[in-house]
Amino acid sequence: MNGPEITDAIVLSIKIGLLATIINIPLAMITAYLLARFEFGGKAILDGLINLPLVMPPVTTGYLLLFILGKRGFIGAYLFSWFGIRIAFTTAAAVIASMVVSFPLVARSIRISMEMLDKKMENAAMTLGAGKLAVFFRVTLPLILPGVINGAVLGFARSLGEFGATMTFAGNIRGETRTIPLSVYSLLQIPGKEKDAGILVIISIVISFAAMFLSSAFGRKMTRKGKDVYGPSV
Amino acid sequence: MLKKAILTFVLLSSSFLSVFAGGNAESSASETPASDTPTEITVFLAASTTDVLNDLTAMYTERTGIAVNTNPASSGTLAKQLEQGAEADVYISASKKWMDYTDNLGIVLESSPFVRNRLVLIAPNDTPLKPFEITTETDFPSLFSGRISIGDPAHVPAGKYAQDALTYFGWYDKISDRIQPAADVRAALAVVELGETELGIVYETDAMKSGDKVAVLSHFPEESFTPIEYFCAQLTPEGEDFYQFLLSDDAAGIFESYGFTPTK
Repeated sequence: MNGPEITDAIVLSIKIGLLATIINIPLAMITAYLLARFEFGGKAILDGLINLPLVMPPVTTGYLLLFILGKRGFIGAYLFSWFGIRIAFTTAAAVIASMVVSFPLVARSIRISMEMLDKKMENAAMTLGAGKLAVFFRVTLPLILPGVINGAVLGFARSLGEFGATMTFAGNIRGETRTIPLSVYSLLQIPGKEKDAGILVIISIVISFAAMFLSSAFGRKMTRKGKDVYGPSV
Repeated sequence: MLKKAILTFVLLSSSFLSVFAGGNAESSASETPASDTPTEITVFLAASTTDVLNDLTAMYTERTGIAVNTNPASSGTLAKQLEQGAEADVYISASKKWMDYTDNLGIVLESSPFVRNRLVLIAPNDTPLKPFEITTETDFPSLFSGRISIGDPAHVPAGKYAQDALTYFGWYDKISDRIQPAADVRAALAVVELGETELGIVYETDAMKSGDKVAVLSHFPEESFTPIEYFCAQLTPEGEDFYQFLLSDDAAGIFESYGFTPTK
């Protein structure tokens, strides 16, 4: 009877987690690139703003999002009256909530690998005639890939666990915003549903474990590959 | 440096002590006989009674010197918390269902119905809809295009009453996939206040509390739902005095000023 509810929650969680992560990666790469390579006014503020959701209570993050993107929010009001777009309390809101709270983790991980990257590699490629884009895709990206993957996995895991901001900004609508944590919460409000909640808890442990395992396996493979290609010449 | 470290340690340990000392006091209080007056009591209350209980507890504390800790949530959530061992002295439920459930746990010393409420259809204050009378002729599903905000019927009494009323008119099946369930009736109200849904169903007292942020479109006819009756229960000997206070004429007057109808 509750089978569909459990499946709904799992499918939705994975969908939202994947979407949030996929959109976050390019944004995080640009941000990390800016922060790792350039000095500019307001850099500390940008850095602080990005990391804020890491330390802020998620419920307040959700409230801020509602304040900005809600139907009466100061951006959301225009989105609604001009384009008829409603964000709050939809799957899109759940994706945005997950993106905002997991973004610091993705950006941080990419930034660290960018700062550790030996710029001589890029310079060497350029002296050999590679254009800026070619350098990025054929030298920089392969070298920071372990950091990107690590960030993506951390971000995905954080998205799977997202509760407070989602509850506040996206609500708890079955099949739309009721992800695994929200579903566990809802089931625990109803006496006699402990078993269903337990099943979801076990499944979320399995998913998180699989993500961590995949990332470390992939990370090892990447480091080995990196050594094969670039190792001897360094 | 050393001074600073010592100071930090003292501050930390004193805060730990104060937290755990509170816990100790509570457990020893429940062991003492009922004749001793407690210094504080805990009340679990249905979310819709949050404001009126704010007033009542302030009044009670002023009279007796007993501090009242409150825990507002949906009646179902509270029943569940009590089932899992949460300690409360008094429990207020917005429906008979969750009071019976709590009674079956064997933790209720005494309980009684005490106030009533009504169910209203609300909309954000800028709604194009005009107040109307709900009848079997109403084409309810086409009143709105998006979602309708109600409490999660699984554990929020207001949501369950709303579901009953919609079912009575034969509308529930048509709109069940357009329901936006909230964790309690106040959360359902907040969604409408923010203009996120075109309609919502809450208690009349919630709509009153909301003032001009929401418009009341209609009252659901009494025959369309089970009577909304609030119950209060005394769970511990320490809770007796507050329980009696809730049933008193003074409390009834305050409940009335918030839009509830006292039945005692």
